[in-house]
Amino acid sequence: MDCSHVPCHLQNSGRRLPDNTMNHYSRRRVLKMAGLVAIATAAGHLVPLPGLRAAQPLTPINGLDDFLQVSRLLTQQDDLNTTLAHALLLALNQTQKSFVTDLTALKNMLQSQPALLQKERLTFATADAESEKLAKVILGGWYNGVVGKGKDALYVTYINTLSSQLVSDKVVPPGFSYGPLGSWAKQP
Amino acid sequence: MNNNKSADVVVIGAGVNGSLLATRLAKAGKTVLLLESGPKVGRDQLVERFRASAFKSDFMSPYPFSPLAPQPRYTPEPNDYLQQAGPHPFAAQYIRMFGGTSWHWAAQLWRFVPNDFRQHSQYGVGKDWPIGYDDLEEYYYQAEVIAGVGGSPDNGSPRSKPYPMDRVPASWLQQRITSRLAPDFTVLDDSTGRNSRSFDGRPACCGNNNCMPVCPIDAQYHGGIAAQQAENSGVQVVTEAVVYQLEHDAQGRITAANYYDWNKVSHRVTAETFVLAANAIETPKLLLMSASDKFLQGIANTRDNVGRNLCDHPAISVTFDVDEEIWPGRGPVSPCSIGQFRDGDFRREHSPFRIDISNASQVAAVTKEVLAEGYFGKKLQDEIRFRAARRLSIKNALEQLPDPNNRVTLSSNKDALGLPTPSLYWDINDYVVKGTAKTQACYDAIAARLGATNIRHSKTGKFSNRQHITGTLSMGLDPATSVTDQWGRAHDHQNLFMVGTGVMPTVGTCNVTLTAMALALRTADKILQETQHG
Repeated sequence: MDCSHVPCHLQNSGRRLPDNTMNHYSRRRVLKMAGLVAIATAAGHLVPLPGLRAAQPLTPINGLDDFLQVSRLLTQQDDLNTTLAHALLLALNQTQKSFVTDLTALKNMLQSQPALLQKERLTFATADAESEKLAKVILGGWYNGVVGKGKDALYVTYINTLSSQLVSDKVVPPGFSYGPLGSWAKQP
Repeated sequence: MNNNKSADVVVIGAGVNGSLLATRLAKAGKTVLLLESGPKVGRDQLVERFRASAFKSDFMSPYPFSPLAPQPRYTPEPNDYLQQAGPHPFAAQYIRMFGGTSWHWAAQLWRFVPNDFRQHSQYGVGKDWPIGYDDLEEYYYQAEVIAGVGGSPDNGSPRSKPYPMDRVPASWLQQRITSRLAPDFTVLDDSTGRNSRSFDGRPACCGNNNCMPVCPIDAQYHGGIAAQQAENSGVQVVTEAVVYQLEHDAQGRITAANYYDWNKVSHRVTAETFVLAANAIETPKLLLMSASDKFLQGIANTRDNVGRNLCDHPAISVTFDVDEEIWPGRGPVSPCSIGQFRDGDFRREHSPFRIDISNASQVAAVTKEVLAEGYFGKKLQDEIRFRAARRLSIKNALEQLPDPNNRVTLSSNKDALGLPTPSLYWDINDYVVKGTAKTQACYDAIAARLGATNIRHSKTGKFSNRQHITGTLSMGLDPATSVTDQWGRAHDHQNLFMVGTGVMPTVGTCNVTLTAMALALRTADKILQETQHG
């Protein structure tokens, strides 16, 4: 992002980084979608994520295996993007107190009580309300691409949210071209 | 260092209206200085800022904020720039930046209907304008040509010439809603400045569905385009120039404007003519700040009318899931509306209104909703797809009558330059409340026709703002009840003009920008006529 025309104190959005997580989109759209995964705070400070560069291996991060395991259980998807998982984990570590510890507790609960995942909705016991809350936060990261709330919110990804991918056969993320004039007139 | 500048005309505010006027004057040979309190930021940077924002549903999030030219913000937390002094919050959003607030809009460029100009004589409520529809018709067309406007021709606003732009093709959603609501409800193409072909160096719409907060390809007209055209026409532009005071002579003629740059260095500019175009809240603020020994209540405010009659379109909304897949999010975000309640004898009793049908993508909204409900796994996916395919969002634009108690004043708070911030008093009367009841009955009928489930009305008694801020600089024939005359000239200041939505005495039932653009072009012609023969 070239903000050379904008004074530093005006900048409040994140810088983009190359990414290797695209799918489902034409070359034209892909060119427009350059830069998919970054972490930027609402206040505008870039969170360094050198490990997200496509050509570089991901920096090892504590809890990634547990995070992927819990995420697969909650999303019921096995093919989650590990680059995005890495970015989400970094963001969650920044926004959630004792995240790794709480993540372990959540993982143990889901493994020891498989009936929890047989229900239609997350309804943990009252004593486990914090774990239920954490499960929703993790799902929110995958589906919304944003972690944290208010001034502590972190933008992680836009088009690679699971919600965007889920509807990519019907609509594009706002801000990206749907197609030539009038292509939206036909039945989706 | 000489901080002084001079021009034939100084225009304060580089939004769409000030920029259009400045361009016309410059092309006629006038030297024009255009002062803008905010910065100049390119579209590419705004698009990047949108994509990297954690608050994409906040249309202000791509636009830079500075405490040196502050603007109201509501996320991540309200900044309380606007002090709320009334029973209803007036949650105004506007952009202090080169190009102004129409950076984020859906390019809605509507004409009023003729009876909007003669509201009081026709229906016994509100105000008559000092001009009629016919006085503005030619200027409406000029503005439509500049912006490249297309839409449904039979929308209640007579035309002497066809729209200059073909309409943008209707989305599948619009086709289905139009078909299923007929004949009880007539759904029309909105009147919009959106390219259906390459025009003015800008491409045709390609359905980015991001008209708000920013079109990434400039397929729609906006103030940033107007401001750049002003600069390209020879207008001298100074950004980050916060005007804080107008000076006058013994006869009341404005002699100078003083502004701070963002280092708080004061500058003084002089001109033969001054035009205020800083929006319907910031312009009253400047007038009130410019009090002097001769004008104790501020410039143009001898009769205490500046800032009064603050109006917007109070709005209520409804969302529901249609019984078939319509997939909002394909094509422009705000393509169509129901206009049959904009005029009629019922205006004696209650607000007229327009019903707007959104085509904005609902994916993000329903995802948050479904997550909050606790869904996960495959059921979560099913629910997101189901609701994203069927969710319809509707809102209205109710006409509010001018009420002098609704007003802009100066608060006791100060911004980073030490300038007072605005205070707003806003109330809503029974005329609007009755119109609200009529709207809700329409919403229920529409929902029934579409087999709706999961129906959610906005909270009873709560109104959102449509950001169509009018009335605070009302034009009128009687100086006792207005701020400006029929040309937008301050009653007591021969060389001071005002343009923008603030000069509009009433708000009607449509988006107000085209009317303000037409008025600005008319004011420009008046200035040229007077100064060329003066």
